[in-house]
Amino acid sequence: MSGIFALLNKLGILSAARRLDWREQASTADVAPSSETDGVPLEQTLFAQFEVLCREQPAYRTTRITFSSFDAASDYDVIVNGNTVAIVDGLNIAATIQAAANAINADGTVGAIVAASAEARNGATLDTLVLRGLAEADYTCTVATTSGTGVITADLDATGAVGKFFSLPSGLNSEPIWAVIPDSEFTVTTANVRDRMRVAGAERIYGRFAFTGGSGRIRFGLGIEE
Amino acid sequence: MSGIFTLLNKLGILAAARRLEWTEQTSFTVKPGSDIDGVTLGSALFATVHVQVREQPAYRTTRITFSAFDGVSGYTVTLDGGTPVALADGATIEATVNDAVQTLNDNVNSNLIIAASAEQRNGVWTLVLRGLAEPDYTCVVATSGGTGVITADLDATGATISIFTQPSGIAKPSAWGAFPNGAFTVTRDNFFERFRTAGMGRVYVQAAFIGGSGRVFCAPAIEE
Repeated sequence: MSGIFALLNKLGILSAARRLDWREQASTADVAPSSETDGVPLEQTLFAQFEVLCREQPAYRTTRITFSSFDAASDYDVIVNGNTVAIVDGLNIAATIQAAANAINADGTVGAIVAASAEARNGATLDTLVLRGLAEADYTCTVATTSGTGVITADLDATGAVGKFFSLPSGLNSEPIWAVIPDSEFTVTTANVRDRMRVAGAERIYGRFAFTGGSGRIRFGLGIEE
Repeated sequence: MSGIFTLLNKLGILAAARRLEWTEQTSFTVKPGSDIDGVTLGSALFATVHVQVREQPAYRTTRITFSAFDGVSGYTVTLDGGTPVALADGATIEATVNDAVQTLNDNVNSNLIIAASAEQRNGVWTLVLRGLAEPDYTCVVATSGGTGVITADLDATGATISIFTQPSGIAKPSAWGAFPNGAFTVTRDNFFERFRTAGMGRVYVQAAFIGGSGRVFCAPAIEE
């Protein structure tokens, strides 16, 4: 194919494929943008998909339990809807969370609320105890260190979020000034939200959302065409 | 490449680039009445309007300048109605501004409200105060003694705007008209929106800023 036809063909394929290039916004703090490096660059795209995720999956609430400081001599509790499961100490994080997953799944009360699994989320080694609700409704989860110096943390899916989007106009390089995108305010439920918005003329996009009851994520998918 | 492909390629690049060409509209307080009001659209199909209530939505900015400097005058900055902070006189505006930065950042009351810095903008030394939190704060400046004149220019706290357009292809002078659904209330989050302007020759934004000053920019766009 000649150069121009090859180019047009590639553009057509890219346009039709609609394979988005997703980028996660690093910060989900509930603050307005102020820096020209806030948010996500739009790469001169005309439209962008956005998604505000309160849950990993709408069907159930997920809790991620990790050890920011591990002490094999510590004792830990996982408390789900007020019901406590004591975690048996292991020699290391992987052994401890595997034992915890087994204990939770075997517990007649807590095992009926969540399903536990030991997962490697930040590398090849098991490092996260993941609880997934067995029903759609929210459940509560707290963790505690009952002895020793270990530090255990529970990161729950948010129960909701409220916020809006800002964009940074292109071509105002000397004074990059963020501005809210009109009609971009959303109340997000545990069902999450994903939609597209017209961003032609904007250089960057930023989501400012206040997540309640846990943590969430904000991502943008850049597309070639409409 | 043949002519048509060259042209299509250029148009494609221009359309995709989306790099807007901004023009600041410096007069905006009254309705348009002249053929040279606002910003020319250059036959653009769309125009983007940017109304700046704040320099950044995250904090309020105050720019303090000396329109007349007198080294023997006393100057104060009062934040949120608290105790006035006296600025040390310097031999020059530059020295006074830099001393003021140190004074305000060291003061146990003011340094809880703002962070001060010295900037030279268009050759003018300016004392810049940026709020440490998102809510508005107040700032009042005063001169005692001498002939110095100190001025505080705060970000506005909000604005109301109305978009007007002037048709193309009509003999001048032609009447401006309000853009349908073109009236907006702008918060400290600022405003950035595009409007379909095909068939229009110029765009104008009437803006009333509240509680301080703001800026208006318009940018014709190539496509879509």
